[in-house]
Amino acid sequence: MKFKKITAIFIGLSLIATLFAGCGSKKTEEAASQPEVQSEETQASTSTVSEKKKIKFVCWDIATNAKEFNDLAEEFNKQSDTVEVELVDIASKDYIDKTAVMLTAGEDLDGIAIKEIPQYSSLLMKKQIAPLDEYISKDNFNMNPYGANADVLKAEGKTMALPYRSDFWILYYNKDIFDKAKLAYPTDDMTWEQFREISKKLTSGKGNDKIWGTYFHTFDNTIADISTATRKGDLISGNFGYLKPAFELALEMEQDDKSAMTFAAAKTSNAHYKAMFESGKVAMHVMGTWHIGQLIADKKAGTTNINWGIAKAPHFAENKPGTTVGNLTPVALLSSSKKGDSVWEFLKFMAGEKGAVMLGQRGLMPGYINQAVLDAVASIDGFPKDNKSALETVDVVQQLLPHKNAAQMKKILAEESELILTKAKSIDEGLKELDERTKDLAADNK
Amino acid sequence: MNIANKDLNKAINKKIDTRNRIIAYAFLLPNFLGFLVFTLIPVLFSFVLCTMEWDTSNPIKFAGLGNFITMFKDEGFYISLLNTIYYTLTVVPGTLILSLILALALSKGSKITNFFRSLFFFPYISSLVAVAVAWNMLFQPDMGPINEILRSLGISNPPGWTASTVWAMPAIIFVGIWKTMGYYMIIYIAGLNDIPVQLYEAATVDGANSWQKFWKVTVPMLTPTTFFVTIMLLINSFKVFDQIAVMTNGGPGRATNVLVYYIYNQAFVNFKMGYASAVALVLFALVLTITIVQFKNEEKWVNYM
Repeated sequence: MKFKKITAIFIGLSLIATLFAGCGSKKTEEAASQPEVQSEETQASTSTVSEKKKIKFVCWDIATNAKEFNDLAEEFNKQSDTVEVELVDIASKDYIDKTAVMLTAGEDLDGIAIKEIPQYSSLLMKKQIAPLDEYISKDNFNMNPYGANADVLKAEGKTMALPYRSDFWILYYNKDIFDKAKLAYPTDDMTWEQFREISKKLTSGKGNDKIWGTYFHTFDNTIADISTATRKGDLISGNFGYLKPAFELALEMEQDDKSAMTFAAAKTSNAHYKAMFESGKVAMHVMGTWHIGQLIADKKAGTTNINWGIAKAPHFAENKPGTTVGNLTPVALLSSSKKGDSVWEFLKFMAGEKGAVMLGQRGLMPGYINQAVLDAVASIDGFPKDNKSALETVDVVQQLLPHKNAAQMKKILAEESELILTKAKSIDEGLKELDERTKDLAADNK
Repeated sequence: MNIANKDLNKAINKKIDTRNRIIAYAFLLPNFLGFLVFTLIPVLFSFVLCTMEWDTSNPIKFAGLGNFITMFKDEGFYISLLNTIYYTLTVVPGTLILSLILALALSKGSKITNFFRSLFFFPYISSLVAVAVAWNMLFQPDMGPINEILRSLGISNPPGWTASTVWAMPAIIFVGIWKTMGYYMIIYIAGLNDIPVQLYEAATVDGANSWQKFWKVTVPMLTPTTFFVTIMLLINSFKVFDQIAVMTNGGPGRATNVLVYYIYNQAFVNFKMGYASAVALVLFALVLTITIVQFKNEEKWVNYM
C-alpha cells in the first residue's frame, strides 16, 4: 500500500516535472539557437576578452532575407573591444506581433530594429523606446547625413530612433522585353501617363506566355503611394480625395488596358513581385530600393537571368522627376535596457557611416547618405551602372508619418483599397468611406 | 466489539477514500496546472480587463463601461458579429446534414466504405494552413480549376470567390464544412451502429418502408448524437479564426471579418486589450446563452432510450 502511494505521488510529480520541463526545454532551445548566429571567430574572441558587455538586439530573418543584420553584427563584434552584440532572430512575417508580446512579457532585450512606421508609432506610444539625445550630444554624433529623416523620428523634440535604412520607390525594367518590343528604355523623367501608354504597348501573349506591361504588388499602400508622392494629402489626416488619380490609373490599367494583373488575381494567386519580375513576365514595375539587392543576389545565384535596369519612379506631370515615396527602417534603444551606452555603440555603428557603406555594398539604401555610401552602392558588381541617376531623389515623401493611429489607419486603408480595386465599391464611395472611418477612428482614440 | 469494528471499518474506508482522492488529484494536477495558468487565469483577467484601458505597456486605466459604449457604436463590431452569425447559421446545418448523409452511406463496414471513410476523414487531420492555401488556388478566379469548370459548363461570369465581397464568405463556409464533416461523419457512424437491429426488424414486420424507418427509427435514435454534434459545431463555428486568417485575412474589405478575428486584431495589432476583452465577453455570453438554451431544451427532443 505504501508502495502504491509513493508510486502515485512519484508519477504525479514526474508528470508535473515533465510539464515544466516541456516549457523549459523550448526556451533553452531558442536561446541555444541564437548564439549560433555569431561566427566562430567572434565566439573565439569573446572567450579571450571576457569583460565585453553583452547586448541583445532584435531583428528579423537574419538567415534568409536580411543577412545584412548578421554581417553588421559580426563586423561590429570584430571591431568593438567593449560590446558584444547578440542578435535575436524572429521571422519577418510575425515580427511585429511577436516583438510586441516579447516586450510586454518583459524579456531581456536591449535594442530593436523597427520594421515600419506603424510599429515605431506603437513602440513610441507604449513608451518602450528611449530617447537617444544624451548619447548623440555626448559623442557629437553628426545627424546631418540623415537629412529630413532625422526629424521624422523625433517625438516631442527628442530623437527616439536612428534611420537605419531609407528605401524609396524606383522603376525596374526588363531590357529584353523592351528590346523585343523595339521601345526605348524608360528614362528618369517618365510621367504616369507615359507609364500607362508604354505598359499597354509592352503587354502581349496569353496564358503562360502572357507578358504584363507592369505589375502592382498587393502591399497595403502600393496604389495610395502613387498619389501620396504629390504631397496633396497624407494617410493620417483624412480627406482622401487626393488618392483618386492613383486609383483611376490602377483600375484603368488593370481593367481596361489589361496591362497589369488585376488586384484580385494577384491577391488570390499569391503573386509575388520578385517572382513576377525575375521570371520575365513583367516588363517594368515600381518597387522599393531593396529590390536592387535582391536582383543582384538572385542573378549571382543564377535563379534569374533577366537583364534589368532602373530609372526614377514615374511622377505626375505637375511634379518634378525624382519625386517619390519612401519608407524608413528605424533602429532604437529599448527603454527596458540597462545597457544604454553599449546599445548606442551598436546603433551608431549600424546606422552610421560604417554600417551605411556595408549596406550600400549589399545593394541596400541606408538612412545615412554621403558620397562614400552612394559610391559603395554604385560600385557593386551587378549594379546597372548606367542608371546611377535613378537613385538621386528630389523629394522623398514618407509613406506614413509616426502617429498613434498609424497602425489602424494602415489597416483601414488596406481594407478600403481592396474594395476599390476589386470593384466592390466605386472609387468615390471607397474614398468617402475612408474619410468617414478616419473620422470615427480619430473620435475613438481622442 | 461490533461498534468498534464498525468504527475501524469506517476509518479504513475513509483512509482508502482519501488515498484514492489523492491519487486522482495527483493525476489531474498536471493538466489542471496547465489549464489554470494558460486558460483560467487569462479568462478571469480578461473579465477584469473589460472595464479597463490597457495597451500592454502603459499603466492600466479604469474605463468603466467605456469599452462597451464604444463597441455598440462600432461599425466594425457589427460587421464581424453579423459575419459570425452568417457563418454559424450555414456551417452548422450544412455540416450536420452532409455528415449524416455520409454516415448513412458509409455506415456498413467493408473495404470500400473504409476507404471512403478515410478519404472523408482526411481533411480533418490535415494542416489547415496547407489546406487553405490549396483551396485558395482552387478558388482562384482567373485560372483556378473551379472557375475553369464553371466556364466549361457555360457560366460566362463565374464568381470571384475570395476576391469578391459576396462570394468570399461562401468560399470560407464551403472549406469549413469540407474540413470538419469527416469528423462528424465518424461520430454519426458510431451513433448509427449503436441503434439496435431489432428496432428495424420490428419496423419491417410492421410494414414500414425505408423512408419511414429513417424518420421513425434512425432519426429519433440518433438524437443524442445530433445533440452532441450541434453543440460542438456551434461552439466551433463561433470560434472560427484560422481559416479566415489564412484564406482572406478578413477581406475583401471586411467581408469575412468574424468576431474572433476582430478580437485578435484589436488586441494584438491595435493593442486595445480592454476593448478586445469587452468584445470577447460578448462572444462568451453569446456562446454561453446558446449552449444553456440547448441544454434546457434537450429533453424536448433528445431521446435517450
